Amino acid sequence: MKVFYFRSKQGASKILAVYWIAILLIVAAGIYGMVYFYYSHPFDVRVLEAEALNAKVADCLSQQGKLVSEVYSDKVNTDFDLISKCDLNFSTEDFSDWKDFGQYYSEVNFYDINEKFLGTLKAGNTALKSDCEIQEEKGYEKVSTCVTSKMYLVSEGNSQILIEILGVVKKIEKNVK
Amino acid sequence: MMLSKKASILTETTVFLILNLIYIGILIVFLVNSANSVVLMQEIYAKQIVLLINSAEPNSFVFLNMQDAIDEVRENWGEEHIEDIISVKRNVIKVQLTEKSSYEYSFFNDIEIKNKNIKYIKKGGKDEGFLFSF
Repeated sequence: MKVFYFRSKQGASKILAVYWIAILLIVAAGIYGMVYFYYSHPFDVRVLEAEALNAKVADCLSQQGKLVSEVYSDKVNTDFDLISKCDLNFSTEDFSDWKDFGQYYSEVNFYDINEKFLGTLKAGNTALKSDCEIQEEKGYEKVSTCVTSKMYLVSEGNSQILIEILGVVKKIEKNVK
Repeated sequence: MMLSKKASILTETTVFLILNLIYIGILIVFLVNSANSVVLMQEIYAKQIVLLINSAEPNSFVFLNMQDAIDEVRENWGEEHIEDIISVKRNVIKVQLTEKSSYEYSFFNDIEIKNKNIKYIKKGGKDEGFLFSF
């Protein structure tokens, strides 16, 4: 077995200096890489947007805990336009294919107390719903973000109605890299 | 002879320490610059404003402190452009902190908001920002 000795203290310190510079470079490269990775990714605010969309729709359907009669009296009024009645505007900036392909979708499903389906209201790009179905098994980042909210409301006839609101926001290009 | 050797060790150590301090300084400057980059700031404020508008109720007022963005504009673009930082066109918010770059993001709340509803306000000290009236 060969054992190496440094011939002088100066020689040892030169070799140590080389190692030290190498360590500094590796640390600098690591920090640069981490910072670049972190800041080159856009901030994903789609969950917050979808939650705000659901809250806006919920506010529009209820009034002091009661289901608005215009939406449901004895059955779901499918003519109720979520866009105009809930003050929504799903148009977006001219970016990528956003002008031609809607970036929002909102769906409200009505169930009775026994969870029997009563009807649905929809607004926006219905094609986005398939993104939510894909994510039921596994969460993917580069698809639309789906948020579901549930609440119970009392109808005009004093029956309890379960309302399930689905809010979907696509906007992948500006939120995911 | 002994003294000069000691002096050389001291010089080496001092140079080594100074180089290390320079290295740490460069890293800190890089980190601060990355965190305060204009592009990043534009995106953050545009998205923050959109979230704020999406949750806004009619007849409400919200003040958003944008001191760092305003300082950036004052330094690199000019005091006269501070009022141009935020603009709204239909339902798209645009945040612009330099002459050449800007960031746009749309909101879904069909609340009436126009450029005249967004006012630059200087409360004094380090409290500058924009007041949104819905």
